[in-house]
This record gives sequence, C-alpha cells and structure tokens, in this order.
Amino acid sequence: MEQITREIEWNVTLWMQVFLYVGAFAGVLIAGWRLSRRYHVWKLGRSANVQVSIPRSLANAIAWILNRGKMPRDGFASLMHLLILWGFIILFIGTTLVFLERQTPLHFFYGPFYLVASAVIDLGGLGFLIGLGMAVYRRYVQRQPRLKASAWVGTLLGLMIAIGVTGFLLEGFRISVTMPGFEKVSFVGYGLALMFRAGGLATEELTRLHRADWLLHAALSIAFFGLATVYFFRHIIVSVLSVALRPTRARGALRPYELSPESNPSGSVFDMTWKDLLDADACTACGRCTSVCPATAAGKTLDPRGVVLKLSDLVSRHASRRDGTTPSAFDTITERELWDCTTCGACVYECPVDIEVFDKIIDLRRQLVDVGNISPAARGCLEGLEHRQNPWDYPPAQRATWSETLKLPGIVLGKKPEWIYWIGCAGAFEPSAQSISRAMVEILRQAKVDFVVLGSEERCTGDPARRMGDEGLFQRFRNKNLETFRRHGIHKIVTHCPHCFNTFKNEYRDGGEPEFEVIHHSQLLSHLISEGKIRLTGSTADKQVTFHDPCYLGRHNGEFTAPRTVVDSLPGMKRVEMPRSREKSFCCGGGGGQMWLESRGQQRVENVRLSEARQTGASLVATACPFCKVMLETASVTAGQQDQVKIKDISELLSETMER
Amino acid sequence: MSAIASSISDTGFGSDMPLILVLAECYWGQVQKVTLELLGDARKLAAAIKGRVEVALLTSPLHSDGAVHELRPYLQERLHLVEAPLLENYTTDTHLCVLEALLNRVRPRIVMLGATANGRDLGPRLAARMGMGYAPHCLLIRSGTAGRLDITRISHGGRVHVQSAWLMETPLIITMKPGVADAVSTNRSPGELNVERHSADVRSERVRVIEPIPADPKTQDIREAERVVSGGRGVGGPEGFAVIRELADALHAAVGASRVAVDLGWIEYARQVGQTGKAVAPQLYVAVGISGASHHLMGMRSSEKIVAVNTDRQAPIFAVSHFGVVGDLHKVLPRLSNRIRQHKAQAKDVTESAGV
Amino acid sequence: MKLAVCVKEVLDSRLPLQVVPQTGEVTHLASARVTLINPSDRAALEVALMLKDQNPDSRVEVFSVCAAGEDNALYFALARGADSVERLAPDRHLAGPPYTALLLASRFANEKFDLICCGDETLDNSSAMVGPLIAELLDYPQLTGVTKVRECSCGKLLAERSLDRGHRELIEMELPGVVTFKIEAAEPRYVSVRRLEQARRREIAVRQLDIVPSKSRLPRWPDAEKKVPPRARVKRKFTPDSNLPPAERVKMIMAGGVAPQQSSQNSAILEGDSEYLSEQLFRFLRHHEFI
Repeated sequence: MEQITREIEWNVTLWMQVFLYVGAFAGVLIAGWRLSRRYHVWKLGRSANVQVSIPRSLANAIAWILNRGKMPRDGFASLMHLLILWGFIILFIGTTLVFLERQTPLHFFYGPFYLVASAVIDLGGLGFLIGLGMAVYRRYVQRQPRLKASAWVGTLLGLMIAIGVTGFLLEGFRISVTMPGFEKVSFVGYGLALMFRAGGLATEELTRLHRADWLLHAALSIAFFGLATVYFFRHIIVSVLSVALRPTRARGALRPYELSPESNPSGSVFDMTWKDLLDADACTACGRCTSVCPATAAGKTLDPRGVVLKLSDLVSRHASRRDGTTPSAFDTITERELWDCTTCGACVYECPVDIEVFDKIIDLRRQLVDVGNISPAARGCLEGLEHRQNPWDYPPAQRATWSETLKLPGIVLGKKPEWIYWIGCAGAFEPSAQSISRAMVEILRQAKVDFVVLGSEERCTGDPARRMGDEGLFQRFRNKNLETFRRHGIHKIVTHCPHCFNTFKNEYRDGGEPEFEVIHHSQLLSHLISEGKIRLTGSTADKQVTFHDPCYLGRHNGEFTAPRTVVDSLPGMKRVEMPRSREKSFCCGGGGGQMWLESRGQQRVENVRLSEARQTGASLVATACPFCKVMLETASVTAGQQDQVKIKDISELLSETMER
Repeated sequence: MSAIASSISDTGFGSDMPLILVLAECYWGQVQKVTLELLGDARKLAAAIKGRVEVALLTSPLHSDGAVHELRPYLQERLHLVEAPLLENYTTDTHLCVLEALLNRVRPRIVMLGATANGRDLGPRLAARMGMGYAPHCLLIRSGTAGRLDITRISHGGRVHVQSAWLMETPLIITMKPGVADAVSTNRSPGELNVERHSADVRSERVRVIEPIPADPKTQDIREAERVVSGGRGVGGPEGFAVIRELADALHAAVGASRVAVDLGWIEYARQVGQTGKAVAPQLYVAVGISGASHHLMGMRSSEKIVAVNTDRQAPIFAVSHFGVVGDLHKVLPRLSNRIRQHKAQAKDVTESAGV
Repeated sequence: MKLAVCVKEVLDSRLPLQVVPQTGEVTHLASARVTLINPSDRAALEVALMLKDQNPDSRVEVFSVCAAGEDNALYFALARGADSVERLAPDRHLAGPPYTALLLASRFANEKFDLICCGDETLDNSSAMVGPLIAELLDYPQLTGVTKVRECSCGKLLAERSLDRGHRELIEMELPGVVTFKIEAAEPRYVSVRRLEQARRREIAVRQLDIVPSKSRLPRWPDAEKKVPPRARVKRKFTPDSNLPPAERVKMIMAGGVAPQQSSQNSAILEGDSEYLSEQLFRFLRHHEFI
C-alpha cells in the first residue's frame, strides 16, 4: 500500500531551505524590529489613566477572536475577513505541520491525519483566495466609498493573492509528478495537477517549475512577513492589543487630563497618551468611523479615520526623526478638523478594533486650549463659562428668571429633599429649552413628585468646558457642584438634559463610588406613566412622530427605551423609526461645544438629520435633549420648514396631553 | 515753546465774571457737532454762575476761514483763534503747548471739551499741566448750594453715575459726553463776530499724523461702526442683501447679518452679529428680517437704538426694539432709502441756495 | 525693547450692577462679584506680547496699582506669558486715577522703558486718565485710543489711532512714549484654567513707593465721590405721527392700512402699508438725528 504521506521537501535543495529559513528569520526580525521601534514610541506617551489588567485583557482578546466583536455588523465584510483570516491561519498551520514533521523528531504527518489535514488545508487556501477576491471586488469593482483604492493596498492584496496562488500551484506541481490517488483530498492541488498533466507538461518541466514556484512562494512569504508592519497591516498584531486594552469606563466619560506643571503641549508623541499612540497603530483604515461621522456627512473637514491615521503617521515620523526635531501631530492635523467634532461617539461605536477615536480629537483640542490657540467664538464661550458660570454668557443673576412666576420650591439648608430637579444652563437660559423646564415642572407637580430646585446655586456641570478642552475649568465646576451636593446632602437628581445626566453619572466620580444617583427625565417620566401617576387624555390628532435619540442619552449611556415608552404612551401618536436610530442614531450636531462654535462646511449637521426625519413622513420630531431640540429647530428655520415640522421635547408632549 | 501775542488786554483771573472757555473740536478744518453741544452747556452754566463764555479754536491757516465760517451762525461769544500749520491735525504736544499759553493768558475758570477721542487725550494732561481740576466724561453740571459746582460723570460704561462737588473757585477742566446736551441753534440775529487772534510758534517733534484713514462702513470692522443695518432670514437670498446695502449706504452704516444668513452663504462670516459672531453696540442697529433668536440678541442688545423690520408680529426682536415695523422689508426698505436720499438732496439744495 | 504694561482688575460692568446705598460700593445684582482683567488692558498686554514675538530679546513687565486681594490681573498676565509682574501697593488713604498714575510714573521714572502700554479706559472708573497722566509726569509723548500697531522699530511707533465716528488716522510717535489701546487693538488669546492656576502658585513681587502727591504735576481730583444709579433722562419720545397729511391718510385708507398699535410704553410697533411704514421709519430716524 502506498504510504499516505508525502516527502517533505521533496525537490527542495539545501540552499533553498537555507534561503527559506534565513529569509523567514530575517523577515520576522524586520517585522519585529519595526514593531519594536513603534512600541518604543508608544512608551514615550504620557499616562492614559488606564488600569491594565492582564486577565481582563486576555479575556477581551480571546472573546474578540472568537466572536469577532463588531465585524458581524457588515455581513459582506465580515465573511470576507473571516475567510482571509482563517484561511491564512489554516495555511500557516499547514506550513508549520510540515516544518514540524521535517525538522523535529515528531512523526505524525501520514495516514488519516494526513488526509484530513490536506483537505482542510486546501479548503483553507480556497477560502483565503475567495476572501481576497471579495476584498478586491469590494475595493476595486464596487468601489465602496470608505475604502481607498490606493497602490499600497493593491500591492499588499496582490501579494497575498500571489502567495495563495503560488501555494496551490506548488501543490499542483508536486502532485502532478507522482499523482498519488489519495491526494484527491487535496482537491485544488489535484485538480491543478490534472490540468498540468493534461497540458502535456513533462515530469522534468514540472519538477523545474515546482522548484521555481517554491522559491517564489518562499520569497513572497518572506516579503509578507517583512511588510506585515507596514501601513494598516500592522493591525494584524496591534489590533489585538487595542481590543485587549479596551477601556472599561462608560462611553460618555472622557479620560481625565493631567499635565505636569512644566509641560507645554505641542502635539508631539510626548503629549499624547501611550494608549492613543497604540490605538492609532491598530487602525485598519477601514473607514467605518468616517462613514458614520456626522461632521463628515455634513461636508466638514473632519475625517475621523484621517485623524487616527495621521497620529499613526506621527508615530512613524517620530520613530524615523532626525536629531533635534520633534514632529508634531499639528504638522498634519489642522485645527479646523478638531473643532468639527460633536463627540457623538458614532466612530467609537463602529470601530471594529475599539480605537478611542474621538477621545484623540478631544485630547488634541485640550492641547490647543492649553496653549490658547482657539477661535474667538470658542474663547468667548469658555470665558463666559469661567466668569458667568454658563456657556451662553448670560448674567448669572438671570438663571432663575425663567421660573419667577412659577414659585418653585427652592432648596433649604438642613432639609433633605427627595428629588433635585436639575435645570441645567439650557433649561434656564435658552428660551426654547425653558419650555422644557416649564413642562417638567407641571408634570412633576401633577404627579406630586417631591422635588426642589437649586435655583441660583446651580452652575454649569462643566460638560461644555470638558468637551471644548479646558479640563481645569471642568474640574472647577465639578468641585463646586460636588461641594453643593454634599452640603445639602443631595443623593437623587433628575435632569432633562442628557449632557448634564452623562456628566453627573459618569464624570463626577472618576472611578470611585457614586455619591449620588442621577436619572434622566425620560426614565422618570416613563416610570411615572407606568405607575399611573400621570394620566393622558386623547387630545392629540393623529400625528406621525419620530423619536431622535440623543447621543448622550442613547449611544453614550444606553438608554433607548424610556423615551420611546413615553412617546408611545401618547394617545393618537404614530411613531416611526428613522433609518439611523438607537445606537446608530445620527447626531443633531449640537454636542462637543458646537452649539457655541462657528459653523462651517457645506451643510449643517442638524439639517442632514432633519431631512432624515422628514423622510419618514413625520410632522413631529420628539427629542429628549434641549440641545437636540434647539439644533433641530434651527434646522427647520434654516430650511424654511418651521410650519411643516415641529420639534418637541417628550416632556412638552406629555404636558400637553396630560390630564390635570 | 511758544509765544503768544494778543491784541486785546486780558481779563484777570478771579474776576467777578468767571470765564468758561469752550474748546471747539475741529477735524481737518471741520467743526464737529459736539462743539455746539458744549456751547449749549456752557451758556446754561454761565447763566447759573453768572459767568461768561468764550470759545477757543485751534486750527491751521488753511482751514481757519472755513472753520470760523462754520461756527459763525452759532456764535454769540468771543472767539479765540489760534492758527499754526501744525495745528491742522490734533497731536497732544502741539495742542498742549498752545493751550497752556492761551489758558495762562485768558485765565478761564472752567474749560469745557468734548469727551471725544481727542478731548480725552488732551483733557487729563492739560489739567495736570495747569494744575487745574479734571472732571472726565460728564453728563451734567449744576450750580449747587454754598458756592459749589455739582458735577455728574459716568462710570461703569454708563451704568453708574458718579457725583462730585467742586468749589466754585477751583479752576476746572471738564470733558462732556457727546450726544447728551442739545446743540445750540443758529443765532436769529447774528451780529459782528468778535475774534481775538493769537499766533503761536508751534513745533512738534515727537508725534506726527501721517494721514487720515476715513471711516468706510463697507470695509471697517462692524464692531467699530456707529450704525449697523443687519439682514436675516427674511432677506431671502444673497440678492436680497442689495436692499440692505442700499439702506446702509443711505445711513452711512455698516452691513451686518444674522447667523442664518451667514450659514446659508448669503454674506460673509465677518459680518455675523451674535453669540458666535461679533458683539456690536452701535448707536443705531436696524434688524431687518431677523427674528431675534437669543444668540443674535446677545450680540446686539446693548445698541443704543434698535429698529426692527419683520413680517412676523410675534418675532422676539420686537421685544427689544425701540421702534418696530411689521412689514415686508423688500417694499419698506427701498422706500425708506429713497426717502433718505430725497431728504439729503433737499438739504444740500438748501445750503447751496442759501449762498453760504 | 523693554515694554511696560499697566493692568487693573475690574468689576465686570457688563453684568447688571447695583449701588449699595450704605457704602456706595458698586457690586453685582443678585450674584457674586465677577471680576476680570480690564479688557483694554488685556488688549495692551496682547500687543506688548506680540511686539515681543516680533523682537525676541524684548521684555514685557506688567504692573498694577492695587491691594493684595485685587491682583488677579497680574496673575492673568503671568499666566498669559509676561516676563515679570509687580504689584505697586497704594497708600490706603489715597485713591483715584491721578494717584495711580503717580505711582506708576514713579516706578517707571528711572527704568528706561521703550514703550508704556495701557488700556484706554477701565470698565469701572471709565475716566481714561491714567495713560495721559503717566505721559505728563514722565514728559513722554502719548497716543491714546490706538487700534493697531503697524510697526515698531528704530525708536518709532507707527500705529492706527481711532477718532470718532469710525474715522482713524495713521500716526507716528517717537519712543519712549505712552500708548493707550482700545479693546479692538488685539484679538485676545485664551488662557486655560490650568495655566491660571499654575500662575496662582507663584509669588508676585510687591513694591511700596513713598510718594508725596502734592509735589507732582497732577490734576486736582475730588476727595469724595458719590456713586448713584443712573436717573433716566427723559428726552422727548418719538411717537408715530397720527396727524398725517390728508394725502397720506387717503393713501392709507385706499391701501387698507391699519391704525398704528402701541404695544408697550417703551417702544412702538407699527403695522400698515409700506408707504406709511417707511415714512414713520424715516421720521423716527430723523427725530433721533440719524439723518
């Protein structure tokens, strides 16, 4: 009986083997050296306030490899990547088995094992090539907008395809010489062998071709190892790290920012955190972040992928710098890009390798702010915050003016209230948001909720200061507000503003135990409705309404249901969902300080969202955030559609239909 | 530094009729309106303290005839005229040395200047040089009890009034806030002009005016403009801004815009008034087709006079306007611009036909 | 080049104010005192720092005449990047712009500063005196109300000076001299809270000058001033003309015009046809002498 195995390294001379091993070794060394250079640059970054836990990191990485994280969201890409990745792994295992069989005393590559292994390897190889074919199709035929059809990518894709093809050819040549029957399991190779035979190639030629192809295959593989750390191919290694070190804090919380007293931030690697530098190198350049960024959609200069890749480029430039120069991120990243960001978090939600995209943008903003390099509008807002305790620059004495006739119960020192209704700056100063506050007061009174307001003891939560990049100013507000809360023994807060909600919930405790509980008004309202404390009369005409998920309530804090429950409880309302809703909600454009910054770009972000809302056929947009309400209202005015579409907060809608 | 010769004998210091000297404000030979307001105030004060008023005019020989001619219809008082080529433009040194000599000569009890750019430049230093009292940026001078002068000046940008009492005998330099007092009207029966000429040998080595940069509302920063006409959503498009510009031209005003107009690309961002644009506080702000959203109001609510034109009766802008008109700007503005141009043409005709 | 900048911490008088009757102190209505560096002083500081950027071996030294608790303007200047700051401690019993100018001028007397930069007026006192008085005491030339420095070289300063009604002039001054700047003279740079707090941890030099005011060339200034809230001056109010000439009345009727409605005491909101409205607008503008 013929032995079911093959002669390892049949037709392979010693020199060829030397070439392969030396080459492979060199290739791995080069890759390792390049990565290590980058690693050393990452280490130059400042502390990221991240607790690195090995067990958790391992768990993250393993889970990701198994369930592939966010990949399944894009079916085609998911399959493609699966085939490429696992195809490659199988092929690599195959090569390793061969190596083990040859170079070590182990002896296993024969018989049934050999048959199964060969079949699987061929399947793997086929999958690999199919996956690559899908990639080529996607990038060059379909021309997906977020994928760049660059020469580099083309070369690397071509290289991988060549490796796969030469590998199969190799098998084909080998089999064609002896044509053993059992090799039918290596169906691709067998098929090729049949073709060669049928083509009338003589054994000598096949042997020569085999040798030549072996060398080619070896060379291409060595090249692959050598190039594995170029461009986004780094992600093969680095992305595992970025996923492993995925942040555990709530999405809505930004990292704290501590600068040493002497530092003068200038956008160099020393001024970025090591995590950001590592992240940037993990980028696969897939462009999913850019494809969901609201600023990009509105034609602004911001391109999140661009920012991340430019940071990765900073690492390269720093690694290869000449003495005396320190490259800066600001050499390639413009201020305009950084100020376009609304901090909506869509980029982070989409990123398949868990890069903290917008955190980098905010970190760069922080550096600009620290040096004072900001626009007059940004300066006006921050200075207004500093001197007048609110980002709208209104006199602080006017904070309670909106409620003068309402005789609201104020907080009394010594009396511990049940609920504090936190109005926030928008609710106090911005006329459109004041009606939200008024509606809430009516509802709370009607439902006999025991609440007080802080009145003039309220001041900004510091959220705009933090998003715009002045961390010191944020800390001031945080400290003052925490002091107020402690002084009054406050432990339960309800607010209608998701920004205040997010900041109180996630950014006022920095890792420690929360000192107080905070809920969003949608949560309180849905609770009151379910408890029957609010009764609704059927007074609304049949209206088509769509709910716009606020980024800071939904994506950042996971609350999608409560506001919908409130809207659904309104009699006569027919609710439709926008295509981009829930976690995929499209930002209104008001976050990240945009409410107070100059607007630039082809379109306004809020107008993009409003058209989307209008396309559902809704004549009413329900919001749960004062910023969303103001932005969408502005959009309706700009588009001349004030009469066709109304924007209302859920509390206003509730108050209108509430039984008194 | 200078020698003054005079052809008429002096009036002594401490004479029974204290002299109030009004310093005429003159640019490039043109007498400014604030001079007439000062005259009004000076006459009232003179009546109250039984004093007399005289006027000082510093100008170059080139412009003196024209300046005197302009002042003549209003003047009942003696005019001290100092002519020197270097007095054509105001510089501190030239005016200081001339006035020092003049004041030593005529010994006024009170000197009144407008609290204009030049008045505030000169006033403190002249007072220091002469050892006189100084009351800046005043609104009101009253003769008080017990031989005192009660002066009210402004501080805190006009939000607080500061009152002080000065002994009547104290020689005093006062700068008056322009635009408060009523200007004197022309004499019904103009008499002979009483001019006392003084010559002066003026040399200025340290400061030199190179050239004037006239105000051009079209190019100047809107924050510096005294009048602004702003267009908003109601304007309808970039072409719509033509009527805004027309009115701005007629009023010698700068053109501004609301955020909506800028965002829609109808006009450049430099003209945006509001929270994310510029904050302006001109004497006149005309809001055309602007609803008056809070972020816009924040950029213009400190304007002295606000006029609003809008088709929406409920627009928030009407809550802050001093004068509002509910109408179509495309019809109202052209008519208004016409009317203004008509008026200017008529006024010009009158002065020309009066043969002066 | 050695540049001196004079700064002051002032009450933010753009917020609603009140005059406390007993003490005559001016403070903020219904909220804590908000103070900041006087905006035109800030512009002066920015110009000085800009000149320093253009002439790298210059020094910017900042001074303020104030009591120990009112030196926030100096800390701000430090945070913004001044080379040095110094507080000149005033005598408790003396006050007023002439005294302030005297202290500053005495400090500068033997120092050979090339340029002394001040704000044109303060938000609180608004007297605009200190700059010119420093110049008088030092016998320096002066420029007030400067909105832009075009050039500063060879012992001369070339600048744009603001006159009234939006006019300006290009003017040249020999150095050393005193310049007062308007708020528009520079776009201020933001100073982050971190830098402000960093500056706070530093010590500020204090100097006590023994000066006898009576020996110097200063204007006389009242010993006591009384602050009061402003009394509204009633100027003849404009009212829309209900006695229109007959021709116009007829026009109105024919056009279906509506009688003018007065919405509040303070302002008129008129409705009607365009002819009527434009005419009333014209009269309003004329009445207030805009035409």
